[in-house]
Amino acid sequence: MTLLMAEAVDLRLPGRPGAVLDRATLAVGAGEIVALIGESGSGKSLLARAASGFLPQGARIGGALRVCGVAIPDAGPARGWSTLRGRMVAHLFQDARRHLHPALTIARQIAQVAARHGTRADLPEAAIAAALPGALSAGQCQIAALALALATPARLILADEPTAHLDPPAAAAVLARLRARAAQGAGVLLITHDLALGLGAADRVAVIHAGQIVETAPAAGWRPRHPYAAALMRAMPALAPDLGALRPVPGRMPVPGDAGLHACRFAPRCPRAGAVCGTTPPPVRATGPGATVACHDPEAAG
Amino acid sequence: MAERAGPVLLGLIAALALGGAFLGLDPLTTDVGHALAAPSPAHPMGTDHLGRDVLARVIAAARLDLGIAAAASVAAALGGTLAGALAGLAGGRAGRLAARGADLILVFPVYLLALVIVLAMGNGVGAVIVATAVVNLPYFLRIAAAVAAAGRAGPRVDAARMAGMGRAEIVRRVVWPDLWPLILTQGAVTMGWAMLNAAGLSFIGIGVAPPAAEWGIMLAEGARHAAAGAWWVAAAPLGALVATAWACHATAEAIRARMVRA
Repeated sequence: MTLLMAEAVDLRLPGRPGAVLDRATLAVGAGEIVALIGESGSGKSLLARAASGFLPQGARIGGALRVCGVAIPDAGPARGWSTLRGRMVAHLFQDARRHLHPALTIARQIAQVAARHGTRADLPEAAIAAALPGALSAGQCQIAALALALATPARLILADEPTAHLDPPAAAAVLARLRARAAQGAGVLLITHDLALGLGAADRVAVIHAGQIVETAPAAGWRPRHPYAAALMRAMPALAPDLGALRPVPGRMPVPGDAGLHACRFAPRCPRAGAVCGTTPPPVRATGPGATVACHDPEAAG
Repeated sequence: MAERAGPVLLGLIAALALGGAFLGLDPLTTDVGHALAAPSPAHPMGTDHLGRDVLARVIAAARLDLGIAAAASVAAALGGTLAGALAGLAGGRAGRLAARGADLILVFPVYLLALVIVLAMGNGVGAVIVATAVVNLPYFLRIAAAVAAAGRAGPRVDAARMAGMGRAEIVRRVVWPDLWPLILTQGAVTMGWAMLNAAGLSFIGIGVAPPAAEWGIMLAEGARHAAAGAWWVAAAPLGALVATAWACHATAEAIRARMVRA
């Protein structure tokens, strides 16, 4: 079952002339972790917020967005967000600490959520469970927020940078818990700016640039076809064979909501760009099983 | 230590106020033959100008003064918190209207407003309680409105909604844990101010009427004899007022330090 289905989603925000998500197409199925990878400001979080109903007032969703089979129009699902939130969808927000209650211990907050859904919650380690959020580090707050989200019976987990403040072992533990939940049939959208993390933790990756999803592919053995995905790969210290091979992505990402962007928003930064890239939206081509690339002139396979 | 001193002292004063009636002290019987007697074993705080035992009167007055302060504080806290929480949750025009209404009370000098209310209602304990409650209510209202408004939007409300909570549950589980420590803190502060306010009204001759034992009345009577050297008549109620006011504020500080999480 497809838990999150975005088909050519255009997202417009009040006061922004352009679409902040431009024909975004992405699916998260049961049992899989999909990493949504992009730079800051590329629209990763907005896609997740659209799926859980936390867009700014006046946001308009074009195309088709479905969460656990329920269509999401601008005004939210027909029977209200309460039918989805907590029961079907959990959202791990960025900046976990601000989303925790400062006056209640972590254990108490988790117990409340578990009680209201009749689930059996796994508490984090005692040092975190017994503490108030103010006494915890940013990373510990993320672990607490994860436990809180997993205390709901939600099948779609929207995890926005869930390991941003964690050391590698703690990050691995968080990813393992997400993986365990996926093994029970949940779908996880793992939002990250870290390509290496996405490749290591996810079954599939989707690369987003300035509100456009440029490439999706299985994570195992992935060879990027889109020039931006390839450039990201060459810009990752963890993936480069040596530091001398590091190549920063040229130019700066355009702001997704601005007016007058190129049809392919990567065109101004792209070494392969031709005249057509500025005027015609790039076609989405299937490049393999579960793999697509949106480019007029993708790089050769292999 | 310092954190405990306030609550302990307040507890002692409250115990004295409640238990004072059983000590067999007589705050009203006059003995003009021993008027303005200096402190002695028979009268540890001396006697006043009618020969009444000052210690007995200070203890008897504790019940009246603390009773007025407690009744006024509880009334102000209940009314202000309820109105403020509703205003904060409603938001928009209703919320602004309630906040401006509270401001309207706040712009008056507290003591002057209380005085006008007592004059309008007529002297008596009830009038003092009502007046004191009214002038202290806006503080609770503003606090409750601010906290409740934070329960309408914001990251923690998003998280609560994401956990599936509806509005009533958000009030109970997000707003209330934030609100009650603040109300309790403000309540303890208000106790101190309410007591000073009640004593102040009696001091100038409105509110509670003589011969009732009340610290403000005792202070007013004692002040007349202090110049003649009978310092103890005024010193005893003054000390009681200062000690109780300090205890209330120290208790509020202790509550804040232990329970209020920003």
